[in-house]
Amino acid sequence: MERGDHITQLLRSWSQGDQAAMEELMPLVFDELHRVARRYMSGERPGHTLQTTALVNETYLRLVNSDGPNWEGRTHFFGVCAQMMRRILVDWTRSRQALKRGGEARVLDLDSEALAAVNQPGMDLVALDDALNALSVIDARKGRVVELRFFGGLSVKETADVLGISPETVQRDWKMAKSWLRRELNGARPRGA
Amino acid sequence: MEPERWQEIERIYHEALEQDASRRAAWVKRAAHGDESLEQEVRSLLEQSDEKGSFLEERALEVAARDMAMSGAPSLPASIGRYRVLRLLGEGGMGAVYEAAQEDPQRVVALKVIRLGMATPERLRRFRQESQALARLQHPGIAQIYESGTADSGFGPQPYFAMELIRGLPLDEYAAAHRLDVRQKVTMIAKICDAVHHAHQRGLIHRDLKPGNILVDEMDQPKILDFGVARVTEADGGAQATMQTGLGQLVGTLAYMSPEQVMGDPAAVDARSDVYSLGIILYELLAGRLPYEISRGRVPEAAQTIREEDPAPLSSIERTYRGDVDTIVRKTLEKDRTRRYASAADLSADIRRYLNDEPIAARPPSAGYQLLKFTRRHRGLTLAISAVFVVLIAGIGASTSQAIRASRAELESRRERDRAVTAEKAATEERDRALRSDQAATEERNRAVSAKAEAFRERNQALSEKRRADDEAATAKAVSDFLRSDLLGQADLNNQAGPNTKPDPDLTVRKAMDRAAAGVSRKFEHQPLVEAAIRQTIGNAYLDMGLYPQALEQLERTVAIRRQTLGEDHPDTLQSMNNMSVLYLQQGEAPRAEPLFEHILEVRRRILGEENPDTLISMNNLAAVYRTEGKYAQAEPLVVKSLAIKRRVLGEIHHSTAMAWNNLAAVYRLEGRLAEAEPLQLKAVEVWRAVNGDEGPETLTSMNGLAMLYQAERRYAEAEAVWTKVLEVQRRILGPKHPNTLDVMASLGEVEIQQQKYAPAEPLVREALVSWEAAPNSWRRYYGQALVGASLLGQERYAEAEPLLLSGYQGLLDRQSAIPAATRRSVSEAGMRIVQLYEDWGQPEKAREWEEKVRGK
Repeated sequence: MERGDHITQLLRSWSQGDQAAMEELMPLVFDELHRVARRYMSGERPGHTLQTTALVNETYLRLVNSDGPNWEGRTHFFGVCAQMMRRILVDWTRSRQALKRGGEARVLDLDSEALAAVNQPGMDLVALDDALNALSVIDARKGRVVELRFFGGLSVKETADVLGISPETVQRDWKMAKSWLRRELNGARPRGA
Repeated sequence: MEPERWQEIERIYHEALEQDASRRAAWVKRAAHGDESLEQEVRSLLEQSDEKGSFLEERALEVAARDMAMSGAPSLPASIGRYRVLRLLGEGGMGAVYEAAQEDPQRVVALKVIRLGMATPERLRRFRQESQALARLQHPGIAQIYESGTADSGFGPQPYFAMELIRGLPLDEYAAAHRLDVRQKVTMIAKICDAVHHAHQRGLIHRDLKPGNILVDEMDQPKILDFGVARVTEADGGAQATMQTGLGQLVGTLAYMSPEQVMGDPAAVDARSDVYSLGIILYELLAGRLPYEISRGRVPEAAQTIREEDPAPLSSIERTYRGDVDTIVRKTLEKDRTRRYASAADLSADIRRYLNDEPIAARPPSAGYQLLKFTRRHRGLTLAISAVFVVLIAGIGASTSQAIRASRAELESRRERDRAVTAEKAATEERDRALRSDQAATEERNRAVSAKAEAFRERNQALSEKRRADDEAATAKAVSDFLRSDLLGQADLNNQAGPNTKPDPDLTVRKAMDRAAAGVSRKFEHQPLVEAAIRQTIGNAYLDMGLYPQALEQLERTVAIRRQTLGEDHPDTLQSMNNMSVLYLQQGEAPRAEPLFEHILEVRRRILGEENPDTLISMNNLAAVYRTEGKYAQAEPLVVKSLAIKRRVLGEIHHSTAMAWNNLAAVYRLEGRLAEAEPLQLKAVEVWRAVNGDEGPETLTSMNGLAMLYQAERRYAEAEAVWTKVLEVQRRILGPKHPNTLDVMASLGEVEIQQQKYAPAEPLVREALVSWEAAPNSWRRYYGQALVGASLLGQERYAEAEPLLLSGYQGLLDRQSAIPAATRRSVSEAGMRIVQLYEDWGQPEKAREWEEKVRGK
């Protein structure tokens, strides 16, 4: 079986609840993760890296033969991919945090330049995932917008296509969701709200 | 939360955002209609709105990746199989490498854990099978694989290799850290070749050789990592699988892949693919860059480049690689693997020949080539001699073009000659034996005599066969012999000290050349083509030394001989005709050069076609003549056309393309289209700098053009700066009396005069004039006089200035037609200086008289 077809099928199985499929998919996402991490480690400025959108799209296109069978449409596929990315990245962060608490030693040396490039305020994906879950309870569509854009790396237009709404609506949802999540992460939600 | 309330919050939030920031709070308060909880909710959201901020703008993958990068590895397993993991050494798309401890035997190993993608039972079985073979590979240049196995990880069976832990630096970093010189670098590659060959003989192809896969340890021993691992870990073999392992990784690897590898045909990948990769490594090590531009992340384009593009010759990046190194690398990087070295051992053998200054096998030894070898082995020769030698070699290359192009006929004739020589040798030996037996035993005499007769007969036959050997190969050899004995021989003090000669330690190249040239006719009376080849070689050497009259004499005779023996249209005739015409042009005889260049271009266009490099050179040269004669309308289309062809055929970064840029800039400059000229001129400088270095002859030519442009734009200070630099280099490299040095000296003086720096200008223009005085008929002599006069005039030394200005003006006037168009303005300028002289000197009548005279011209 072609690799692309195989991945497509794994994604389909996983979206239908097959956890084993996820385990086969994970190494692929990790490959990608390592690759981007290496870019950081090699000292490439974030400003010099590919746009994340392009990068994630590239990942998908590599995962799936672009000329392969179009599985329930491209938009659905992107949606499933975004979910998968979210799951894998958040799980990975969670396991890493557990490890950190166990006192893991730092292994790779970064040169100071590379360090300067990556030394930015971090983002806790686990906390964000929790906040996103809370947001989805209040407004499921906004939760999806964030999932597609942030985890899936989709553009406004692509997100609009997946959700079947207008790009303007995506923009408004995105703006409001960010405010809401940021407030949540900063612990600034008014009491009683 | 009630959906209605949420909608309300959302509505006010968006409306408030449309307000000016200072009025938002008031706006929200009014919109909330006293609902404090609503107001507070919206306001707290607005406080977090961060329109230009970065929150969530970086995507999750990037966030996680950065996290990973900052803290090191994703996770460090405590153990893998029987190995206790100590730390992570490196990590890539294919897997991770750990430093790990083994209990029995007790040792520290490098443990490479491989990510197989989807580890099917079939793949695991093959992994086990093939990795066993790797463990049997033992060579000091190869990191030993101790064992392979599979361990259970969270994600299923995880194959790993335990191998020798090398403490060292990757090859490229090692070379940089230890500042290896060329010999050390190629020696290192030869060592690597030996190791690669060892594996090849055991049927293992590396397939992924690159500097990062070669570590050099503290004992300077290179160690190749991952031998055979690529094959074992590839799902289906061939590049196809590699293509999918990770784009970023692939691009890093792709640069070292052979054309057959990027074609993705596993069957076509053999030892010669590794040889190719070694060639790229060698190239990169020497040149400091890869032979191709491989754009990151664009695999199809990169693959196409590898399959189709010829690498920039090493010598175009660094001139000192001209010759053997260039040839070895070139052969290693042949697209067609049958033209490469057949094995890594062949490559290392050739490298070692190079290191020992023996002729390398990479190409049949041509005359010029052997000559070069000769000089290398005789380092005692003066530096000046070797410098000229390079010139001579280039000359031989051109003059015996047919012989040196390794045609089949030539090879055949060579072989025949070799056979003849062998036969001769055998015959001689036989004769000697015969003679010995002749003396030893009488009863043998008759037999010996007949053997001797037979030997002589054979020898004669061999000699006549030898004569039949290809004329051109013989010509090349004759040239080489002549230069070796008649020219280089003189430089050798031992040779000089014959019974009747006194050694001459001050023998100059010039004298040696003159002596050699004088002997040519006598020596080659019956071999006109040999004579022509030698004369052209010597002529070109004179040309490069700036001895134009001497060069012209040789080249004119070359042309005459070739015209007669080879005909008007023969490539060699055209070649020497071209060089002769260049000299005419340089001597200010453009009208003589023009019809010759037109003829050459016409023939080359017809026979070689428009895109042939020789045709392009002719186009350029003819344009140069037109330009010198001020025929810009004829020059421009030729230059534009050659530029277009060169850009298409040769590319932007090519010395020949730069030549076209330079020339088009010159045409525009002379036409007064200065703004159009500047970017072209700068481009020419930039490309030549890149291709030939800051001090290459063409770089200087284009800088000279740039200075002339600045001068025309009246940006005198900038012109002065450029010329100062050019002059400094020329004085050092060409010497203070070279014609080009003198021209720049005068230009620099002139631009100083233009800035009223008369006193500093004087010694410069005087120095040029002293040399020019030696050629009383050249316009330059008078140009020099006019400039010296101008520098004196500016210093108010009127009496000294007067005779120089008067003589200079008259001399220039008489030779107007010989002055290149670019410099022709100097005639009227010289005249106007006479007017100024008399005005400043208080002789207004004379000034007016001269003004009328000058204006009348």
